[in-house]
Amino acid sequence: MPIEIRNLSHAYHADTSLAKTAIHDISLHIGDGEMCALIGETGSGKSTLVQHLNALLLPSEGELEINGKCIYAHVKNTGLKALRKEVGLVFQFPEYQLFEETILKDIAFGPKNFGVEAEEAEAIAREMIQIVGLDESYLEKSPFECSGGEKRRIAIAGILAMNPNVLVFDEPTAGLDPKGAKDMMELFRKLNKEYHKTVILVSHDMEHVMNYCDRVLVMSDGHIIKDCPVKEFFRSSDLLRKLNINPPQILLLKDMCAERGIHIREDVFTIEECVADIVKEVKNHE
Amino acid sequence: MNSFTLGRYIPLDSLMHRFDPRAKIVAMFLLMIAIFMPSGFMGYIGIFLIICIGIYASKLNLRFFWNAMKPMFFMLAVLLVINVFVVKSGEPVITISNFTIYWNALSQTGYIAVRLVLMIVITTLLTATTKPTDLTIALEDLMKPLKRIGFPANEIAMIISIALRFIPTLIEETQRIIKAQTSRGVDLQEGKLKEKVMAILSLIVPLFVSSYQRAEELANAMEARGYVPSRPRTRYRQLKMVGRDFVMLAVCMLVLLSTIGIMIWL
Ligand SMILES: Nc1ncnc2c1ncn2[C@@H]1O[C@H](COP(=O)(O)OP(=O)(O)OP(=O)(O)O)[C@@H](O)[C@H]1O
Ligand SMILES: [Mg+2]
Repeated sequence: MPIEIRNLSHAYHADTSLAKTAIHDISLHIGDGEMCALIGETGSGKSTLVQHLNALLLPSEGELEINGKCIYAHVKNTGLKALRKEVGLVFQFPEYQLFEETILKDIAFGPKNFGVEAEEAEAIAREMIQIVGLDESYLEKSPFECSGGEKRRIAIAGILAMNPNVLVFDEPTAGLDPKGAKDMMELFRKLNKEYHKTVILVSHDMEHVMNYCDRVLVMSDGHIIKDCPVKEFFRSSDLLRKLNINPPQILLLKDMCAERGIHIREDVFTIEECVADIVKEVKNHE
Repeated sequence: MNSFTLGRYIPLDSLMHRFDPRAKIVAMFLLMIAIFMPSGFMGYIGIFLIICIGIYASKLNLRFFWNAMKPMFFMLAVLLVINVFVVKSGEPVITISNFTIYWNALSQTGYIAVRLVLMIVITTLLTATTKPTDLTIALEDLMKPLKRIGFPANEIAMIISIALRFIPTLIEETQRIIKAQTSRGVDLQEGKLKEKVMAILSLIVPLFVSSYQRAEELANAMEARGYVPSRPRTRYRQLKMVGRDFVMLAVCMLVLLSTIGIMIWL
């Protein structure tokens, strides 16, 4: 179920003196099973854009089509709840949405809202807690006695439990330690590759974008200014610098090698391959 | 959520905005007392006039006051129904089959309605033309005499100013949680009663949790910077009453006296 966005604009506080257009005339196609990164500096409109995907915000201009369901500007759209089941949106700091007495109940809350029977919802919860890498002993605990990272996982399990086909994560790794962030990214990769979910990831971390995503969308000032495969995007650090983005470590390493006359192939993105190239170059030299 | 007007400050440059906040608070009290004098509809003429002048001098438009009053209409409707059933004195106005509505039921409701409208307009006038920070400073000053009898004026003022400071934050937070729960299928508009209770709960619990967290963080941050609640504090901005403030107070006092006069005289 592809996502089709046509000429989408959104203005906050429309019709008042505070009106502010946060995204302008965005057109975009995201196919099934893609793993997309959405990047861009603070205030560029990333969160605004992704909130349209499950109709938390409605277009001021333009339209969206998600799984054949259309949302238009200027009309009263109906059946939004069905759309919210299709697109799971995980907010920045999702741990603030936990509220039930037990983790089991909290994870089962989403499916129950969409009409799943209580028993089945609990069975789903048991499955989901394992997918996010916690064990079943957590289920009877209160969500409020968990650590920040655990809460984050529980909140994500709560969204996964609704079994949406599209998963949108708005800065899911903010505030996590490097290990926690890496686990999280592995989880998203698993959801994408094994469960065939479409994943859209808002991130400020170029390492994650480079290592885990297939496509990069760059936003600036409400526009999409670059849309290309990840390999192409990280081919050289010049493009990144032009877009005011800090290149990932590996690109810096490649730049440093280039300065010293060591040539490394453009499609090398892991440190192992890079080392292999350097060794080869050095051997050639000798 | 964004459209509520009760208690919102509107930055304009008007005579009402320039009055000393302490004078405005005292004036509001005087007029409130005047409203509660049982001097019949006659007594409200003076209050009504001065409020009209106040609105004119504030440069606020009437629509703003109308919006502030809207939430009250539901309450008045309930009150009217109760009065119609309970109050059985005065002239009968109309009889439908064998149920009679009496004049006093209507006049009492009307009386309460007038009082409420006047009160809301007065408080709106105060809060719309006075910055929240000025309000707290003024309250602190006005409460100063009470310190002698052990009333914690500084602390109360600090509590009020913190509360005011966090209202926008709380609204923002509420909106965020509403969005998060909406994407989990919570439907705040529709649904059965049980579902609605659940929906409200799913907002209130996270809101409380984050508020407590915020409160704790704020308290720590304040203590870390050496805040001791009971110590006297100096401040940068000093208030000063000038001629126009005294004139306004005198006029309000006059209105109050006139209502008292009408009450005794009638
Ligand atoms: N609720 C709101 N009301 C008014 N303006 C808003 C609101 N939310 C966002 N904006 C404005 O819209 C613009 C885009 O905001 P948005 O949250 O989409 O940015 P972002 O790219 O997600 O930034 P960040 O990386 O900081 O999350 C910003 O200029 C912001 O000031
Ligand atoms: Mg954002």
